[in-house]
Amino acid sequence: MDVLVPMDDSEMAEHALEYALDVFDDAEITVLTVVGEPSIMWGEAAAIAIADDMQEAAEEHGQTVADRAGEIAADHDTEVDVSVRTGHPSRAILDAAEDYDTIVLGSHGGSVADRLMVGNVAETVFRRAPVPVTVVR
Amino acid sequence: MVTALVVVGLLVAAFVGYNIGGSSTGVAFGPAVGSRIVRKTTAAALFTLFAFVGAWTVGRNVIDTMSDGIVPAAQFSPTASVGVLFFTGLALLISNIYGVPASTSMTAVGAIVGLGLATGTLDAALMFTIVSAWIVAPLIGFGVGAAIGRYLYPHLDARLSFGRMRDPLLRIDRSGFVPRPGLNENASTRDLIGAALVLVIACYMGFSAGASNAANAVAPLVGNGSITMNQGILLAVGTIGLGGFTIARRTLATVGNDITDLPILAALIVSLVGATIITVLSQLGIPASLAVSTTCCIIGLGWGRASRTATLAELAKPTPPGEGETDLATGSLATSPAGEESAGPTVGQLATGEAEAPTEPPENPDIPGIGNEAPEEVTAESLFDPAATARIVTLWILSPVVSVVGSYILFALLL
Repeated sequence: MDVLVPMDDSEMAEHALEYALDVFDDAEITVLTVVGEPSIMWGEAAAIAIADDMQEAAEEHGQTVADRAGEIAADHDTEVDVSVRTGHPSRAILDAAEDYDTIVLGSHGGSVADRLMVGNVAETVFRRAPVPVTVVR
Repeated sequence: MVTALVVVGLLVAAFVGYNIGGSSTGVAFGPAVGSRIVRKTTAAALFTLFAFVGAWTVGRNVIDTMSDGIVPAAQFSPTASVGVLFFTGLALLISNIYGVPASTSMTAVGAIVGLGLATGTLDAALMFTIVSAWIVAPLIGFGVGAAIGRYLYPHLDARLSFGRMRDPLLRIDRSGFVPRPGLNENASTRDLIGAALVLVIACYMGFSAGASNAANAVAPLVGNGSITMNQGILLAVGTIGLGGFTIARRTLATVGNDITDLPILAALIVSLVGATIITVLSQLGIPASLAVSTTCCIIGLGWGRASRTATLAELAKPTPPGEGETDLATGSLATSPAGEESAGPTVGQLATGEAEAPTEPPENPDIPGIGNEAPEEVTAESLFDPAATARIVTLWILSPVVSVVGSYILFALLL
């Protein structure tokens, strides 16, 4: 069984990973973090676009979440794969979704501004994903 | 009654100026504070100084337009002035509480337009010029950013280097009775030049922010003669400075943070372009948003730089409507194994802009993702996709539209 856990730097996302580790304890868990998402002045997206090696820059931006996911997995005596994608969070998650059996994600992470900017990621994924979705609250 | 309204007007104007100071200091001095060239207090002091110079010189033209241009000065009765300022203040309040973008200039002009429509005194020709400028200025920002990003940025990047400093370059010496500014002695010449450049451009941005924004706070009051032009400028800059010294500490961490995500060189380029656009428009008496022009320049710079691997002919090929989204997934799968490009880019790749230029080999095609999933190609299109851009443009347009409608309804009922 392959489980996709999309994560940002929010506490809710950490709950989602913990839940996935508890419930799907013998599954292959992949943490997906999306970087360079649309923001008011597009700072992060432009910073990645400007870098000499965009892939490397994207991975650098995803490192904090990757480290945190690694710590949480270590607490559960296991490991997770971490993958980084760029751009719009819900679109990136949905693009990745079909390679997995199920998705587990936190209900919301961002501020009001984030929600206006990128919409409610959990809701979009929940409505459009081709596989079963668990929304952790 | 009338004097009470004037006092309310002054208070709302002060509130508007205070919030402008809070948000503009972050945009202007974000890079300088982020790279530790100056501390927040020094940034606020410099911002206030240059905002004052900008407002006192070029800013007069914008105050002229907004106090006696879009609608005749006679329309700014004490009630109308308070109403117009109320909408500007409300937009700023929402923007600062929720971190949602709202252009002060566009909202303020929107409120005046509502007043003009309700009283039938709107100068339509002037508004046509202003709205044209609102469309053209961001496009120029985007175009200049894209050109620099595509052709000039790598060369600039190779020649200029900017580092983070351990101690602020410009510090306030508090050992004496009077605090004195002084230079950090432990900085190299190269650091000094780079830092000086960051600082000069931040001050220039402060200048343009003052020039364009002073009018938003005081134009209605100058229009109805409650205060003179000079008093208005002093009130605007005084309250802008107050905001710079107080709430800017927080906005430097939010609004300013977005711009400090950029490498310093990129932040400098977009600041320079944004400030120049706004200074020119202010000189012409046209109120416009510094944040919108700067943001468009950021998108242009990033997009131009990220598109460097595609040829212009490929870029010119439009994405077929509806196909872009679904092709991204299949396109990324097709491009992940190295060496497949040798057969030439597929139409799907061209459509999503994921193709590498045929003349240039793909950069490090073997870079693995952090995990074992086939890594998705990072492209300009994935970072600046049209849907998200449209969403943000809508947000920027929303505040002046709400302001026009709200103020029209208010003044149609009230006057």
